[in-house]
Amino acid sequence: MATKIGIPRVLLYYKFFSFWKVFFEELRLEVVPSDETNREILKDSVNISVDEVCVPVKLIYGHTLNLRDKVDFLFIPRVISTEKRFTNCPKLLGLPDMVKESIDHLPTIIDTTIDYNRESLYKSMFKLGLRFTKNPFKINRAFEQAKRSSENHKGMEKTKLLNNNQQEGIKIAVLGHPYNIYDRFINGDLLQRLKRLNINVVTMDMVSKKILNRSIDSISRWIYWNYEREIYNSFYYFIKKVDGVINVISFSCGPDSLVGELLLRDAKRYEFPFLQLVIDEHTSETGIVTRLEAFVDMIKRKHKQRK
Amino acid sequence: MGNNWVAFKGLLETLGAQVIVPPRITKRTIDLGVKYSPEFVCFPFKVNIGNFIEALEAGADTLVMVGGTGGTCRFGFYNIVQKRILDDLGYKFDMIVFRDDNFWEILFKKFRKIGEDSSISKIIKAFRVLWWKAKVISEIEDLVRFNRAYEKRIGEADRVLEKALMMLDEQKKVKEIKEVRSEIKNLFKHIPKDLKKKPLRIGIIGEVYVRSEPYVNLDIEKELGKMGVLVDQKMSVYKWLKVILRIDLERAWTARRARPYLKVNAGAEDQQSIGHTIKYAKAGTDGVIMLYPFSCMPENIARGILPNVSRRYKIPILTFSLDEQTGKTGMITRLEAFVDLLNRKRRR
Repeated sequence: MATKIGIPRVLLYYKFFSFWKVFFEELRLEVVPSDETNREILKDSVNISVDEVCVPVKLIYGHTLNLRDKVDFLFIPRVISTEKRFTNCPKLLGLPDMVKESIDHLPTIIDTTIDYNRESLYKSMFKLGLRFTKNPFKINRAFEQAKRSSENHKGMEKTKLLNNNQQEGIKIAVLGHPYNIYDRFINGDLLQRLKRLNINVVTMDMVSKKILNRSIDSISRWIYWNYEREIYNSFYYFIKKVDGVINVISFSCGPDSLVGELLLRDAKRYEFPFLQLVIDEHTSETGIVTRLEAFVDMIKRKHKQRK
Repeated sequence: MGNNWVAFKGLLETLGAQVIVPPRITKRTIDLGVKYSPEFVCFPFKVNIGNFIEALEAGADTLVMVGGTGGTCRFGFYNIVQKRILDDLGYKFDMIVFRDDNFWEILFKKFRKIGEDSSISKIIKAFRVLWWKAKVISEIEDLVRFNRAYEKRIGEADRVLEKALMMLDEQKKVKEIKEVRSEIKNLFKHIPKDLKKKPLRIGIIGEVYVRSEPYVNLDIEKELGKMGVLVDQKMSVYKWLKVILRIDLERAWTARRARPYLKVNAGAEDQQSIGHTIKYAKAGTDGVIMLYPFSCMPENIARGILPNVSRRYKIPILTFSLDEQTGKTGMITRLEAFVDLLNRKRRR
């Protein structure tokens, strides 16, 4: 039987899963992601976690419990940065430690440090690979395959979303961390709901990396959180191209509380339709639906007036 | 930052600026800050905004913000959002931001312009005054903590504290500061004390700002002193100056101690909090109180790890998450319960 490695379906899972999956599978490991977030997982998470962190971070506890008895290894990387000169939110830095100290009887946790400021991704993944095989060529190939597949995956996601869109109708950009946008449970199935309202959705995944990482003005130059800068830049990229922007942030998210405030103030300045959707573990679907419908109605009315 | 206005006033006066000591933080400061700040930003940001607005109302034209870009915590990004908020409110001002890379530039270019004399020796002199005043203040604070626990009449130590700060504030030269320092020590010596007492010892850990600003932490040290507790606190502006100049070796040791629990320093004081807890436990301190602003990212990591440390080293920990909604009565109730618990634990 193959060794099983579990990956909790939280946080950076939504960005790097295809990469990790192929990498581990090439090393002859069986990859087991945790179940999609459900009520039980959320309940477990809230019970264990510190009460003040944001929901996505809380969820790691529930997903870890979900995997605990199924796997031999748990992959919870310490992702310090995924871009040079940038860092991630401190909670991602302390993630493996927090899990280790809060849950008993865990399988071995693999807490590879990924820090582009110190060493390249290749080097960190190579070190990780050495834990499972002694053959350097195998690791090398796994890395190449993983890289290719993650690029393919990105392209597929993009076309999938674009195929959903019709030519006409309102276009709304949904901005925020991938784990807030794609976790259907905690955001009340936001993307599907928008689709049902006949709205074309665009997300940050459709913006090229070059645009996401440039420094467009004096402020974006100083944003040192990788993903916040992407959100900030894509806001400015979308502002001329879409009819409205929905910014999904989780309550008590540190970086978003500041960058979100800047976006809010900018949207007000340009009189641009902007909805800031704050989610936490108590958010009800009805609340989200009401706000979405009101927002869409407002944009539609604006359209009519223009005609 | 608490009593340390004396030190910074010393610095700026020696530089030749006219200093208006801002009124201590009041309810109005916090109301203003809360009104104009983002909803769930951490508490120091809100207090900061309130401070800045009150300073601008009083006629200040330059705001100094220490700390910009660097680390992972929100603090480094404060200045940009604060500037935006104050700009939107229509204030005209100049903001000096200390960044990692422009420290010396600001020191020698901007600070030299203050006042008439613009020699480098003036700057050195000013910083010597800051250094010494900060040092004396940290000594005074330690003395106050000690005296609060042992004094016969409650409140005596705080009266001497006020007097000592006034005395220190009047001094302009390093030599005079040194003289006043021994005078102050004498003052504290003459407070009638009951040295047979064996007070509880409690260490305070957590985020730096809320630890050193009495209005924000609801004067927790004084309240504990009233209950006859000997408080220990490892942070002061003097210590912090040492950290900036990278000559604080103790900090590295504390971080080392925390490493088995938290591998990297995720910003602010998280490793320090864990390390100090272990240190206190080994030194036989009765309990630890942790203070941090609501939703502070690094301290929440530490908080997630501390229960385990507490179990392993058998040291009780009480945490306070502070923001504009924290009530004093609630805090005192919790403190009394905690002190009772520690007393019972000791008797056993």
